[in-house]
Amino acid sequence: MTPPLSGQPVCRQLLFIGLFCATGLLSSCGGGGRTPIRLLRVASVLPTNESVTPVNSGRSRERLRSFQNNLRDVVPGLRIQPSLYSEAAVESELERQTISGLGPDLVTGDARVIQELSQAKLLDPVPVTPEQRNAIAPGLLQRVINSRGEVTGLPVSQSIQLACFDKRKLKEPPSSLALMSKQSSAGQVFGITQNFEDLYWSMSGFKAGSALVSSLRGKQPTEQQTQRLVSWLSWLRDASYQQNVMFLRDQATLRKQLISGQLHWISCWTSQLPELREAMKGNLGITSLPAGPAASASPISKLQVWGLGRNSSPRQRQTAEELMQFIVQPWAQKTWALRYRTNYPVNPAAATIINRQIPGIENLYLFKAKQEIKVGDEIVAAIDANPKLAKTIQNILNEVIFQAITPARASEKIQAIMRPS
Amino acid sequence: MTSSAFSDLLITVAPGEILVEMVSWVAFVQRWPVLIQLLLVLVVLLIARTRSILLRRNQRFQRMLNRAGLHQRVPDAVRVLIGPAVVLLMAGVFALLKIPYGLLRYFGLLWLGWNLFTPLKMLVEKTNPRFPIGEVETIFKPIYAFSATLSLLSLLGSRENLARIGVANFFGVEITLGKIYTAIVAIYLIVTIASRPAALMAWLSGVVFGIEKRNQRGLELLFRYSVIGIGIMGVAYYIGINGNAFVAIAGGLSVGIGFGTKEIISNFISSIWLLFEGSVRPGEILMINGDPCTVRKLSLRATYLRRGRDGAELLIPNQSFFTQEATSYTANETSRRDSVIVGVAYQHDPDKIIDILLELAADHPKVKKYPPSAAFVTEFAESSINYKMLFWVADPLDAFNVASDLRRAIWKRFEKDNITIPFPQRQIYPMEWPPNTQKSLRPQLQAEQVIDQDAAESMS
Repeated sequence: MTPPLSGQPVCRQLLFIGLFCATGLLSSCGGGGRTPIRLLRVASVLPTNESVTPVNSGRSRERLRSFQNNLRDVVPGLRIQPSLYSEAAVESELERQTISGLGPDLVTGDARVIQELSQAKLLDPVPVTPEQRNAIAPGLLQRVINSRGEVTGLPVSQSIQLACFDKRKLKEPPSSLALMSKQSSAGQVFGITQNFEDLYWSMSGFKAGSALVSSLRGKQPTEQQTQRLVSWLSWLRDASYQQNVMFLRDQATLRKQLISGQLHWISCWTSQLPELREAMKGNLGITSLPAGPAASASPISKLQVWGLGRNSSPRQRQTAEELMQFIVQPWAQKTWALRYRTNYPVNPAAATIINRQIPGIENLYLFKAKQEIKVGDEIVAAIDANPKLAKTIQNILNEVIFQAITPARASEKIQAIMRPS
Repeated sequence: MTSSAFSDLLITVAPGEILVEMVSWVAFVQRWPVLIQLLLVLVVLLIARTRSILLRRNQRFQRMLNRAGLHQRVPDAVRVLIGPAVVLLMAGVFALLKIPYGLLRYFGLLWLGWNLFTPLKMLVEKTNPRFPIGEVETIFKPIYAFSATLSLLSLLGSRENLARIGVANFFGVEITLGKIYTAIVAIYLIVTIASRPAALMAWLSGVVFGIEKRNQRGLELLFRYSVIGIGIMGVAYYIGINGNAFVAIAGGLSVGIGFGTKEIISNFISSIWLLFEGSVRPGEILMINGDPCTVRKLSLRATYLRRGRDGAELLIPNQSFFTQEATSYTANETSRRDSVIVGVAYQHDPDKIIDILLELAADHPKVKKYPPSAAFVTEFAESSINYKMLFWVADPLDAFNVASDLRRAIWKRFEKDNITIPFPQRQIYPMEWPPNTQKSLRPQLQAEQVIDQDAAESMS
């Protein structure tokens, strides 16, 4: 049956379009007639093997809201709309959005992910200003430069590896790997992930990183360097023999088991502290990672990087760049690091203030063991730039942990694949 | 439970975050490639819609197109694909020009997928008319709409955000928008598709346990309700509603049932009971107000019956079968006894009449041999002796037709054997009120005068 008025649906459609446009104009120019709203869509990528859950979604949203409120004075009218993606899904999702013109204005994630997204042509290179270049530690900036010399993303903070433990179960956390072994024999349960990135702290205790760096530079590692690498791999194999040292697949499982009391000690990242603090409250103990036989543990840092989406309008791009300009300045770096206590600054000046402001974290401060940090940065930069290399190293480590290969053979294989082809 | 206690348990969170997310889409309109893509899609859509509306309502336009022969050249099934094809073509041009084209491609494919169903349906109807394409359409179209919404939200980068937004707190369980959406889709699928596994299970029961076909239909309904019930419980557990919440909901519902939904629940329970009891099952014949009706469907609220007399569809609330009398011809025995009454003139021998009636009944193919038919003298009436012939038919719905056949056969046989069916005869005189002796009684007076004259003549 036809309605009596012809063309009525067309009118209704036009009305809807009109209403939509009016709402759009009002929203974009509105804000109660005070300042125009500057809306940025931000895609956040979760660390490896972490999946999007209501809890981390809520936490991230809350943090961004507080960040946004604090930034209102610097970037007036700023409104950030976050979306959370797992590492596995981010590339395909952003690809669909970018070819539609609906990509995010900013993408935040760790250096490797940003590098991958940049390689997939989903991000624009970041035009780093001289002020920004001065504000960021050169070693860190090096980690986000691609083969064409472009900066794929701007480092804004870094999370560092620590040891987290349950104060009720473990009175004295181990200060060395030897003590850790002793305590595990006494019934204390330790949890470590199999990830190479998460295992680097133990490698630095043996000074085994120099063998990898030599290979990376195309040099033949010395006998001593190779021996250190074999020693570390042997420790890895021996630790996997132990009943109370658990090698688990990912950080999320480690955290879950520490919270549930199955594990007494785990290696953790500063970025994961809010979740642990929330669940364990006063029972959560934080300390530095145990030293190895050759040196103290110097963990590599996970760099939090901001990348620029390709679809932003000139106004959105300007807002994003303003925000990037501000976020690496000492004041912002210091404020966010002190407020959330989960991430460390990329700005060396701000890091000095952090050291003074929070007593007791000196041991954790990244810039202290400069030589080892440089080694770590070089290895991570190589891995970040070549995800295939990361996968191959991971497979070799898994074979060592599950005793499918001898440490000596594994050392040869690792050195071989690290050599530039 | 008091209302305040309820509000403690069931707290609805303000849907502000949903609005914030939706408003954030406005940021996309600031990008010219997005704006152009949207405008192009809207323009093509408007042209297609306006054209089809004009074509439907404007006969002059229709005639003009017919004269141009456009309709003959492009059949309906192809014409519906023109709009999506234009949008996809534009997407191709945009891709060549290295301008973002995903929105054009998305809407083009979405539109094409929707419109492709029409030619596909026509093709299936032509090649395999028995294929339940209507049923597929009922399931497919809403699923298509659900998936399209999800992929659009994903394209906007809002799917995860919206899915994680808590809309309500239900007995301590946070119900997110994503959970609600999934639950709706799952329940829809369970309710629409449940009939298939239920039919299979009923058929298997028939094969394995030798259950009659008639009983299989009842069993199928029972299985269907079970599948739906288990499915809904599964969805509730997926959402996170645990056993305690179920108990609380049941407690709350019991109050609600007591007041508002009593009838619905009563009908539902009745339907389950009827199925278990097996007294009302699809395919059975019931007498409702003296009319035989076939049970077509036993739904949650009411039973659907088709009245044999006029084919009318009756919808009787299930609980009526518990409170009102209904005669079943199929509960245990399907045959029905019916009767034909006939009056015969006094001069004929009743034994002969009874023999004829029994003979006629025996000759009819649909009258059962056993139980045997019977004929009785029922009354010495004013002008006839009345007989009643009783006979059995296998299908109660045939009783009406068989009785009619028998009456015709009786008339023909009586005509042949010169047996009279007497009937009272009436003579009608026109009268007026109040009586006018001059007029109204005139025919009578005339008649009396004629009689008087005849009498006088005979005396003379």
